[in-house]
Amino acid sequence: MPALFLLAIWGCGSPPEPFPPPDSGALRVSAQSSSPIDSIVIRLDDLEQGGFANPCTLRSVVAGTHKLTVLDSTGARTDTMVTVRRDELASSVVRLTRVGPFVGNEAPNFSARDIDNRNRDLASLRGKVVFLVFFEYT
Amino acid sequence: MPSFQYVIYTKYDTTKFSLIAFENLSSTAWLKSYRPTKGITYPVVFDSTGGTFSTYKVGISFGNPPPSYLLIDKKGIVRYRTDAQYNVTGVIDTKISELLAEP
Repeated sequence: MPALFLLAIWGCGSPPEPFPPPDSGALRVSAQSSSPIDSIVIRLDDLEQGGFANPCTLRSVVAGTHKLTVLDSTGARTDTMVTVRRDELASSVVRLTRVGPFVGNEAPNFSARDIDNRNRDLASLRGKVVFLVFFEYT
Repeated sequence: MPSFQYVIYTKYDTTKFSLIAFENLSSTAWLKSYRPTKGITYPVVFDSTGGTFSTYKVGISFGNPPPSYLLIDKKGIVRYRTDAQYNVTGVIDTKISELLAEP
């Protein structure tokens, strides 16, 4: 069996790749939008990884949960969280946001009555963490 | 969005955290009848004019198809946004915990 194993390695015909860092996996990123996207810039935990064809696969990503930022050439972007596990291929399909407010922008105020006829406005919630959900039932 | 009720809304202290849902296609009457069937108690706004959808640029015309989720920190800054994504409850839950821990 050891001889067969060595033979298999020699049979690959290409130089061995550098060893990936321990506890790493791969991450496939696919960006979507209302128009085709050929290339994207990827940041992991706010560190730029470079420009890539869309879709692409990043190899040797340290296992763990990362902030994934994807941008296209127009500056459209999205931020999301991804979890990469050791020796596995994670996949993230992201839809790039065309217009803001973006992450980092001040949230625009709103004032609206809820279905219980109570007024809801963002300014009165300053000091709280606010989660806004926009959905459609069709 | 019943999962937000059980995974998020009932978990956090509402003196420090708010959840508001906006819907723009049905009606106040329909939402009022729907909400108790799912056990939802968080505030729901029927955005009949689409005003808040427009303010936050939610909609196919903006390139941001719903559902759209935004997290706003204590200082009023958008700290997380995702559009047209499902199954992000866990990510949002984690992010809320992080934001609540900030000064």
